[in-house]
Amino acid sequence: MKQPPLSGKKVFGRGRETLWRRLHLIPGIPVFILAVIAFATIFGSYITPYGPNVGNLYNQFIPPCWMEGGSTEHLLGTDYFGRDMLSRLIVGARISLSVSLITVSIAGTLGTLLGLISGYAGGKTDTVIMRVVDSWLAFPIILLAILFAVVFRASYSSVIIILVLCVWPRYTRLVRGEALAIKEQDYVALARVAGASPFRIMLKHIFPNVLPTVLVLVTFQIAEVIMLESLLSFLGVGIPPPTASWGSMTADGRDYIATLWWLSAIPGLAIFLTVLSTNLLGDWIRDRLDPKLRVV
Amino acid sequence: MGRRLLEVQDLKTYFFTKRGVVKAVDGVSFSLDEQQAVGLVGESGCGKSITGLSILRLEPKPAGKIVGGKVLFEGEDLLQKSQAEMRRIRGRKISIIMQDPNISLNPAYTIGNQISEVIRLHQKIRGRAVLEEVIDSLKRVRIPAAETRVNDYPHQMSGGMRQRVSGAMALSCHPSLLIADEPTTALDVTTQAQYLELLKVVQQETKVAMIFITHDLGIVASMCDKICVMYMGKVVESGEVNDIWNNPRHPYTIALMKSIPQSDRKVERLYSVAGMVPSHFDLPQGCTFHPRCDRAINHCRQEYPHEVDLGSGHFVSCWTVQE
Amino acid sequence: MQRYILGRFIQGIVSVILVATTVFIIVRMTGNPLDVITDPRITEQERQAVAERLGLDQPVIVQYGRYIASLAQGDFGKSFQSQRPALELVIERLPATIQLTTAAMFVALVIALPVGVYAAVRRGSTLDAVVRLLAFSGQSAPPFWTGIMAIWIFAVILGVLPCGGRSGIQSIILPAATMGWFGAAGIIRLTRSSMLDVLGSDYITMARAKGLPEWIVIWKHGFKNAAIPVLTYCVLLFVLLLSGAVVAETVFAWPGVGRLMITSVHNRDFPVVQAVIILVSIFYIGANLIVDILYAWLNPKIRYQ
Repeated sequence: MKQPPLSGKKVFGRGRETLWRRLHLIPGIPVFILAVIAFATIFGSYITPYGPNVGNLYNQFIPPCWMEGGSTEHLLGTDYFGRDMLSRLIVGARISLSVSLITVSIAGTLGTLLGLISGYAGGKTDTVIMRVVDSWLAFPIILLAILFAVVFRASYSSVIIILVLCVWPRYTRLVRGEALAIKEQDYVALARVAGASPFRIMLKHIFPNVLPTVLVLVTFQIAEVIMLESLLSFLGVGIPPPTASWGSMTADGRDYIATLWWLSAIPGLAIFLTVLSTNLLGDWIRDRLDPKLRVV
Repeated sequence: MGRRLLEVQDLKTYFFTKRGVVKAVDGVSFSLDEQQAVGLVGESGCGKSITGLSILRLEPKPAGKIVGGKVLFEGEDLLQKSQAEMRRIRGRKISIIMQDPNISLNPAYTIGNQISEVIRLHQKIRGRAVLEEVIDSLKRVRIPAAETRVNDYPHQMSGGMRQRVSGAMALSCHPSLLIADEPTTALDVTTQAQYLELLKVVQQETKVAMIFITHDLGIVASMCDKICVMYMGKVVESGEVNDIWNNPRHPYTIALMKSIPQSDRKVERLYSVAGMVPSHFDLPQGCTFHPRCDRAINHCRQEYPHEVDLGSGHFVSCWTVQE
Repeated sequence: MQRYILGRFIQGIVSVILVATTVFIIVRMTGNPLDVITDPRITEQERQAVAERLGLDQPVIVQYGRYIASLAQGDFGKSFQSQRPALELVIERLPATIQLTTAAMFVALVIALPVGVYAAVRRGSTLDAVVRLLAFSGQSAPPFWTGIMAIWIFAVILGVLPCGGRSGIQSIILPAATMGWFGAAGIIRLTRSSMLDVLGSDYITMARAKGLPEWIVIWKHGFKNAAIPVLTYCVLLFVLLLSGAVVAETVFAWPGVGRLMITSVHNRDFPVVQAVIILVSIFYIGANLIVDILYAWLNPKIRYQ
């Protein structure tokens, strides 16, 4: 029987496993991308001289600056209405980030609260709440979005309402699971014996321990909500025109894919990079906060 | 007792982990004749289970690797065989019963399905005959109402029953060697005794040779003809069961004996071996037991003891033991 | 097992009724349901007629009763656009969507399951790393974008596939692949991690100890247990596929229910939207039911609860 080398590197692909860990465990790349986007969101209007909804039909369909026919006046070209793509892209960033942050804040707060109550109260309350959560989660959101769009008019606020409605149950389920485990701990029993009110116990003892897991979920949710919002806008049931959402920009460009491919490619790429970075960041946070949760 | 069935020579199985190399089995040798039973005894982590798995070439991959030695079964070295050849031996010539039947039986299939799987694989019978064989094997391990239990799932049976099913599965193709890896550890005390009784009866009926892996010296005394005491991957003492029981020579064996609570003696405190099992990544120099040994001399710190032959098959690896 | 199926079935019916109720409530919430329910082009007289028929002056319960009754009879109203019964329109488009969704599911499962299983079996290899990378990116890329990019690459640049419409085998490849791709990513990751868990179990070692060939160990013993969480995810997948169908049909101009849904929303054609929502819900709840039954078959412990 041959003696294999004892160094361990070749024996079971350990070298490659380490590479994967290093690659996706450096927060550098996603943080960089997200920083660029955040920067653009905050300072964007000072960088570009054009309003995102101001268009000049004489300037329509100018390609991005690195292609033939492009100019440095419109770095990423213009669309059908002659509107500057870069400005619209920046507005899109603002929309994506603001919608997702607002949605996640509202849904997160509501969902966590409900989860704490459900987990701590237990019994019938818990069963009822979880039943609702389970059936809610099981349902295709798109149907809800459609219903809303046809009954009310689609708007910035209606989009947020729809997204919050889609997303809150995840928090409830997660927090309730954790709360169930934590409430069995001794320090909770001690607090109860000491006469603390349930509200106080939930806030002071259970919530801080649930927080790391919630934060991980929040990060992934931001990515998911950005994806959902762009999906809704793409289909025309999200943020209404003329406001530039990355999703609606991608939709606008679809018909011109044969010749003016950048109209769809660029906003779509923006969505992809943002979602990817947020997901990578979420993975990194999860590894730091709670190695138990690693699925991969 | 018959001819030599199994001869393990200097078996070495190492685990290659990120933190270093664990020498789980580090030069283990013993032999077994037909119809004999040998006990591998030691604390958790001493490598006895891995030894059993290594004989079947089932060391846990990808970290585990058999790096040296020979395992001669019926004269042929199992370590040189191909995977295909090994598959013809597993389940048919050598079988294993694992420790926890809750996880060693597949929860998704009936016990009948799992037992017939082995029978159909290794024997040329089909159809109705297979079912009869399955029922026979269940009866062999004294499972009542075998005909109806065939369609039960593992979770519908008690722990003791499940372990009997494991036994039935292992013996269904009439192997010549049975490896029992801590078969009673996961059972409660009463069931343990029943199961050991069963194994004894089965052993006499089927004349199968056994390797009995356990941490319990008491069990070994009643079930086995030979004992190998293991510590940190090496065999520190081996011999006939009576020799070891009446005349243990290695300090570790003596300590193990002393820690068995005796029902007829009242003691202030139960004896336990001094010190703690060392980390696998940081083994002591020389004799691995010396930090916990009350007889350690200078030489023990420098070199691992050579094996000493005390006659009639009794071997010890200790510097303080002379012939 | 029969009792389990019956129980689930009843739950399904309740769910469908819940959906219809939700639609009812939301429409009534606008304060002026007539504006939504009726075609803006009809005369005042006709509006009154509708109001009477629906009993809008009656207590809510009566309205609700009439609503459920008409739904149960298959009356979803007439499309404003085409004046045809909404139900008919939906059913007409259903085969196209089912065809597409099946193809997508097929793509996703047939590719993703074995890939996930083998990534687990060959843990730590290059294949594994590549697979995980692709799966991770696959879940971050918006499906409508990948669809459009796919059109750009295969239809525009390479010219090998059509860029839309439903015309033949070739035309289903891109939309099915786009839809399947998104789901496949998730399936791969979940199958891989589930398999990894299972492969470490004692019963896998036991299966090998019996002398079984490796492929039986992996598929018969390993996969059946690993499949359980994957199956649950597949239900989730169906949801994703639904929005995927809407997206794919929009991007690729595939004449299915999804596309009908979107154009109806843009035209504010309420009866059709309502029909789509309720019918899709029924379909979806039915699929859930099937999965639950499959789940009980795979995991015998569930049946005996």
